[in-house]
Amino acid sequence: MKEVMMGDVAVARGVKLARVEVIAAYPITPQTIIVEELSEICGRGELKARFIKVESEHSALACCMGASMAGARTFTASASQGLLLMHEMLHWSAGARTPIVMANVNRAIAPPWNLWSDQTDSLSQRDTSWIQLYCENNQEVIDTVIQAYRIAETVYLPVMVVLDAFILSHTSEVVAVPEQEDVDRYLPPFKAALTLDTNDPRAFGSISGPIEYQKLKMARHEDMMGAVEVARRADIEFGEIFGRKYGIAERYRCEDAELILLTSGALGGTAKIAVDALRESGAAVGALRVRLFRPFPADDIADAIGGAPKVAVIDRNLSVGAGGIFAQELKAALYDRERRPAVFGFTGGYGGGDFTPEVVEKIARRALEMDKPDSPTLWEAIP
Amino acid sequence: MKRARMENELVSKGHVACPGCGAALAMRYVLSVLGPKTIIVLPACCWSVITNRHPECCLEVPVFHTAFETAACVASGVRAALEVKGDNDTNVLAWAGDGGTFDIGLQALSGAAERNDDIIYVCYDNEAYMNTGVQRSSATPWGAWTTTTPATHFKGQEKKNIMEIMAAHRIPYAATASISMPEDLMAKVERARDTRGTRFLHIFCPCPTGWRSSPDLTIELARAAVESRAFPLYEIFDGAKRRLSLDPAPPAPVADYIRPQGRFRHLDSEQIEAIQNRVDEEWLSLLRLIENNPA
Amino acid sequence: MMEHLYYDAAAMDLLRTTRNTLSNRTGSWRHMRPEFGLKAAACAAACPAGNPIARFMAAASDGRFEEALRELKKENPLPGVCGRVCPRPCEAACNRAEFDEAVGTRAVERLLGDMGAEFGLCLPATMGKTGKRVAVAGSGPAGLSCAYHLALSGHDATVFEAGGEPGGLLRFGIPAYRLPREALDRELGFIDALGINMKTGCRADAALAARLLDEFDAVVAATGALVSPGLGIEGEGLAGYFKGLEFLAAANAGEASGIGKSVIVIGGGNTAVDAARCALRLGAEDVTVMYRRGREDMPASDEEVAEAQEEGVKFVFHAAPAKLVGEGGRLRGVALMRMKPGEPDESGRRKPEPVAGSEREAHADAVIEAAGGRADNPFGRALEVDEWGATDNEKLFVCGDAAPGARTVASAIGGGKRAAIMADVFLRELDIKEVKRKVLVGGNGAASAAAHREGEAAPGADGSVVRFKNVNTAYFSRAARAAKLERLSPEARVAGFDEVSAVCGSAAETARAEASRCFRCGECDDCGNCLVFCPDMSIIGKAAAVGAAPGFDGDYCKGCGICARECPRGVIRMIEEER
Repeated sequence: MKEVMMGDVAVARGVKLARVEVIAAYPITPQTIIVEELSEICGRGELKARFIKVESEHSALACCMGASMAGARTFTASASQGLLLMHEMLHWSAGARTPIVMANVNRAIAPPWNLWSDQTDSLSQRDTSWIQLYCENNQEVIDTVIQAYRIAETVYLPVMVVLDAFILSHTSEVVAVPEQEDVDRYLPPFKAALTLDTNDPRAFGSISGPIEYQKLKMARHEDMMGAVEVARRADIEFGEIFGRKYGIAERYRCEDAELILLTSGALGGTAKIAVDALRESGAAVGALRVRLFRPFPADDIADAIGGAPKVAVIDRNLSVGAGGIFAQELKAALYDRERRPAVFGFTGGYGGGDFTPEVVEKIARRALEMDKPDSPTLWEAIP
Repeated sequence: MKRARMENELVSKGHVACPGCGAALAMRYVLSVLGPKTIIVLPACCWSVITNRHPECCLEVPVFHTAFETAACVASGVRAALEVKGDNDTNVLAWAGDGGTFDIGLQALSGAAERNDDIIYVCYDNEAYMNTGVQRSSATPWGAWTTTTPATHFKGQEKKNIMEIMAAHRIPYAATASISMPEDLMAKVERARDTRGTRFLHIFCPCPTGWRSSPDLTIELARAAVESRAFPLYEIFDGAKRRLSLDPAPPAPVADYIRPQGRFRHLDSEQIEAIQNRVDEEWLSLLRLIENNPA
Repeated sequence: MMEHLYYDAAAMDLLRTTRNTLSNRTGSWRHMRPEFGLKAAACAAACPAGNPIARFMAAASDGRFEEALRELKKENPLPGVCGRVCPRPCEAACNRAEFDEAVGTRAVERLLGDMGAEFGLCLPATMGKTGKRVAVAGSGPAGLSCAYHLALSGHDATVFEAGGEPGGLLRFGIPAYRLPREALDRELGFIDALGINMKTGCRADAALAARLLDEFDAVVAATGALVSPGLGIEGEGLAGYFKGLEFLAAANAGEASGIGKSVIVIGGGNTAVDAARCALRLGAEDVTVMYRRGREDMPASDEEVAEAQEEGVKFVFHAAPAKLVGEGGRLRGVALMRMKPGEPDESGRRKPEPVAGSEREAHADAVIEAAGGRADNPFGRALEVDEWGATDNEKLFVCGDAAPGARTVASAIGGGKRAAIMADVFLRELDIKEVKRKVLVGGNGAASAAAHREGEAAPGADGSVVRFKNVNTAYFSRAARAAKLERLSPEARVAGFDEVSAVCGSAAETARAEASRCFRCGECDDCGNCLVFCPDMSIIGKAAAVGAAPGFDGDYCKGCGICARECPRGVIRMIEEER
């Protein structure tokens, strides 16, 4: 059934369909609609979950971690400052291997106060062992929430479903809402591998020596790397049931491209429009949208780039002092490969302002004009 | 004294608490009453080390080690999951030190208490950050030496009144207890166990290492704190009605409690007199609260 | 379905613990260790009879009086006697005195002894017969105690008593108003019950002594110190002059006469006071005890002196007789001298010296000499006797007043017990050093016959005595003494020989209440403190019975010492760990 809904609502509806059992969340613009909508859903009894309205984001994630350890499927949502406040618990929940799913609405980090989109909040959590999935539109949001549980509960790592502030969170789009019975078929009830069980009393997280600690961390790393394949298959199987799939890195008109525009999130849709216009004008430009980040699907991306001599990465984020985060990731992923295209690292569009197809076209033309980047970080202001 | 009955022994030998550790005893007593159907949430505190290192754990109940400030909220999450699964008889025990309760964990505790989440929260109070090497906390009493309040500049602030903070949350049950009175302590754990909602126990646990006291004096100091009224034993029901568990009349001089402790060695008799006056005042204000609304 | 990646068990076990901490032997941290073992209470260490005070108090505080009496009788056959006449060194040593007031131990002992009327003799278990025959000369407290413990050890004991009835000094030396005859006779009943042969009317003279040494496997001399040295002054042949012990024996037998109205007793011990009080009861109107030293040097018990004063006995100090003055062979009075304290003598007391020119005469119808007797041992006057009662003759032992040492009933009972243990060691050919090392209560007090019989160490045999500082008073609440004595009015007392004092209240209630006051120092009563307060769960072996102390688990005990500190009664102490 198709409905018109905002991205935040799509998140909440996905949570309901995933039959989440414990929710703990704290409000922050532009995530608030998620908690409001979930409150309504739980209030109406449509979802038999315990919704704990905690006093902070830190507690929200801690609470989810406790619930997950006790065997419940859990959900939380946040943005910006809230996600940053969670930082300690992001590490802890992943280290404890609790398959929590969180929605993060990308929002700029203060100061100054700014409510609009900026991926720096989620991307700066890239070392926390959380899997991140960036969504292009509201259909993908609802579908990704459901997929996220499949992935999380397979690799026992938490998953962050990321959507842009306002561009998705507060923008209404037509969404095909999955049928509950199909979701139930796709997503079996959560079965915890590790649980606080009074019949099998164990301690989790006890002080460990260097050997145990390193082994654990390496195991987490291996499982994280394995998540590339898990996420790919989760998407394929989703497609088999629901008729929609997205891939972990989505290609658009990349064949014989001289330049590939690498984007993520809602900007992926903008890039497609720009590519259409560029192709029409005779420029051999393709688009590649990174959907799965952490693990970085390097092989998929290298394969998609193929022999293209140039890649322009458009980062709606900035790691101050280093540049756009996706650009860094891409460069690192390509370094050991035989085919190493020139990588143009554009950043911009954070803190609001429309990243229009025209802006993206402009970026593409700048990259086409240059043999190689004249600066490791290129900035494209939005008028 | 009648012999305290230990129904369950769920702390195994071989834990690594310091000799004479009061907190080790507190755990014994509490688990003795709560029994094996208990899940412990353990934030950073002495006890996160006492359990011993992986792959051993001295507690014969499930334990989840968590971040310093998260005891209450992780416990809330555990409880929520159990509720969803239809398990209403497993005790969820958040077990934190004074730092994790009075200081860094106060927000999460306040949140859980305000929501009246169905958990038992025990603060074992050894009056400083002992695990990190004796730094002052807001539970450290006036006059005490710690590594961050050296004798030349001892702690100049009073101990925070955590019980009244908890009372202000209107939780159904809050009580103070001392390891020197295991029967009273265990009766309070029983009352907590049989109450629903947020239950708070403030257990006074001398720490020979941090108090610079002889390990054999642990119980004696806990008792002296009670008998001198420095640590009154009482209960608060629904944040309103109060009941004194023990009226040490006549009280022992506070000096009896202060003198054997190295952390107070630098205090002169006038300063001890000041502590005495403070204890007397606090006792009177507690009595007034009890008189106004007795349980 | 996709398979779960994270199902690798090895990796899972990195995330969760797999076992408890029993493999972590924290006992290696320890440099002090708790030492558990029954200690001697200060009272027991001070009791010359070796009464197991804490033990019988435990039973009595619970109302288990028969058991209490049986415990007491393991060491002392004469609780009803000691409970009346003992000068109470136990109460002087009682740790509770520093807390509120000493426990009324003598009163409890007396009440328990008298409960023998209800429970019978309550004799402890006897060991198997050895077939060895032991002769005991004398049936005073020492001889009786010795024969009793010999019999409990399985020996065949025969007592030779000069008088017509057993009891010795208890019968002829202690007046009935202090020790009623039914109380004495009840406790002498054990002689029959234990099968001791009692031969009365057999004075142990030198001939009998030689025969006993010849015929018996071992011989014990408990012949007392009954020879009166006399005053050694002019006039001892006058009518109206009496020797104290002879006077007391006659008075106690109801055969005294010719005492007159006015009596002077010379001496400062209990015999003097008893003689004075008997004189009052026999019709004397004016009785004075005359002592050559001061009040503070007087050996008589304060209690007895006070009672005597209440009854009207006068005391004159620093006075001594120079000669007895008579008329027609009949005593008329005493020529007195005032005395003044001179240089200290070997007892540490200042030797009295006459004051020149102080002589005067005092009227008296009778003078009783009560200066104390000396032993005339038929087994040899110059016999060397060690503190255990042993002599150069390996089969001959000496106890009671016939041996050196204090002259109280309790000391005599203790001495008899030591001699019995030594005789047993001889007869069984035991390791004497080992026995001596193990049987002394508190390492330096009376011997414990029960410990000897059971082959165990007496409480505190290693010298550990529980003092007040070892008691944790937090576990005791203040309580006024429950056992109080009430006394007949002085008029009623002197009208006859009725017992002067009685313990107030119902015997059971009073005994229970007073026994409950006892700290029971050194005695584990399974209170559980060590168990409950051990942070390392290292107290093991719950006391199976009262008296058995728990132990500690050396694998885990960190040596914090809480158990020792929190033991209410000083059973546990911390000692250096030997590694």
